[in-house]
Amino acid sequence: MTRAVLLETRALQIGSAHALCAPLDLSLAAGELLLVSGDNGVGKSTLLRTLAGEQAPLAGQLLTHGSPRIRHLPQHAGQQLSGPFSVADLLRLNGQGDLQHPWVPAQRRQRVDRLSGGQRQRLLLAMLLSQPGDLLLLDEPGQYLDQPSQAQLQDWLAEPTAALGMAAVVMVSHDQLHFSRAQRLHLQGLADG
Amino acid sequence: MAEQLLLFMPGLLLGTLLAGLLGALGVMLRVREEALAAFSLAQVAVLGGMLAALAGVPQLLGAWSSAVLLALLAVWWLKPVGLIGPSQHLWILLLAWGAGLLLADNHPQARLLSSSAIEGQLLLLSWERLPAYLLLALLSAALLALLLRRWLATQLLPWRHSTPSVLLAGLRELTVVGLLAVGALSMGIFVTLALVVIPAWLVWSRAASLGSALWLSALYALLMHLLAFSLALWLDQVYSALLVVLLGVSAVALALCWQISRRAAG
Repeated sequence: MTRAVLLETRALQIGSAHALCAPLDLSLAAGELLLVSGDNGVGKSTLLRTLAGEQAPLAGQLLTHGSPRIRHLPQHAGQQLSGPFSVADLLRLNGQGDLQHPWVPAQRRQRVDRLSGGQRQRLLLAMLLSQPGDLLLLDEPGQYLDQPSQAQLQDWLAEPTAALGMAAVVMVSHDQLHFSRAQRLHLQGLADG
Repeated sequence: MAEQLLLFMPGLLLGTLLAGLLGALGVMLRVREEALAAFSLAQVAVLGGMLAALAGVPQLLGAWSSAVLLALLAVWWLKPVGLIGPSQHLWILLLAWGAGLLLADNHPQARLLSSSAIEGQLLLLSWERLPAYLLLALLSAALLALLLRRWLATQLLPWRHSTPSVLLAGLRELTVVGLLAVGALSMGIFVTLALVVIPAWLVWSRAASLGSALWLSALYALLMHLLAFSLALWLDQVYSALLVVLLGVSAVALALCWQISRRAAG
């Protein structure tokens, strides 16, 4: 079955002052999973920011088809949540006041910045994976998670129809993850040749 | 006594409304770490008010629209040369202060406005000016209440960072500038800044939720304003200085008490 292409890149160059890696030609369709790996500093997070539209590409083209709803979960996002916001506040701000999910803490009146790093990451992932989206950009989502939670996340991402609908997923990860359906992209720094 | 009360009633009314609103606004600005931005916008509003008064335009309207215009111009002018974020607001603040001082040095009316912006003129607010000040403050507050959740969602939820609406950001600036302009022209720049910064700082790490942070911050600002207003009339002292000192001293004292009680409990 041919799925609709959501996003394409043509000779896309990413970086701030200079290109971090070789030009990228990607094509991502609904329901596909792309695993991005590479050494530190080769532009994995920059690639996600560029795909999310948060950072302009240096050169090349980034084409989206049909105005996809893009959800980007940056690295360390949970650790940056501070202030007088309870779990219930955060859910309400995302229009998910009634969300029932095993990763949402039972104590909804608890402040988010008093949760552990792993609990915050689970909360953000629960919110993100429970709302409609066409393209999910996940930057090391397994960070801060314990082993059972990492395994659970891998299960959810393994089947596109189970938890995610037909969302396409681009995921940066240093872990050796095994997905039968995944495409893999290994970024290599220009300095490495 | 009744005559005196009538004389100071406009200031009391506006101050009561503004103190609560600025206290709540402070929580929102703290989410974005925008204390310096608030200071610079208040300074720009005062400069706008001075320019408007010299041009014969109603002061508040001039202050608000000039502040919006000048802030936008400064953003467009400073952003291309790489001055963004806190440094951008520092530059806006310095330029507005410099330009205001030059105006004040060359025009008696501007000098009067400049000194009243520092000292505040809430107690001397007239009944004639009150409706315009109230109207802008209430309109800004209504917009703030309407859009608060969306602004916070854009700031707090990582996946909303990439989709900030230009209209939403523009409305946010108008609201913030509106409240800061009314505050700076009536209560003074430093009182406005103190009301925005200190109550929000006090409740930031202690409030259990967003709702309680907003209410506590507004309530604390309101109580301090009423206390300062009463003391200013009773002791014949400067309201703005009293309020800033009361806010600062009581906030530090409360924070210390809270820390001591927490240590004792833990």
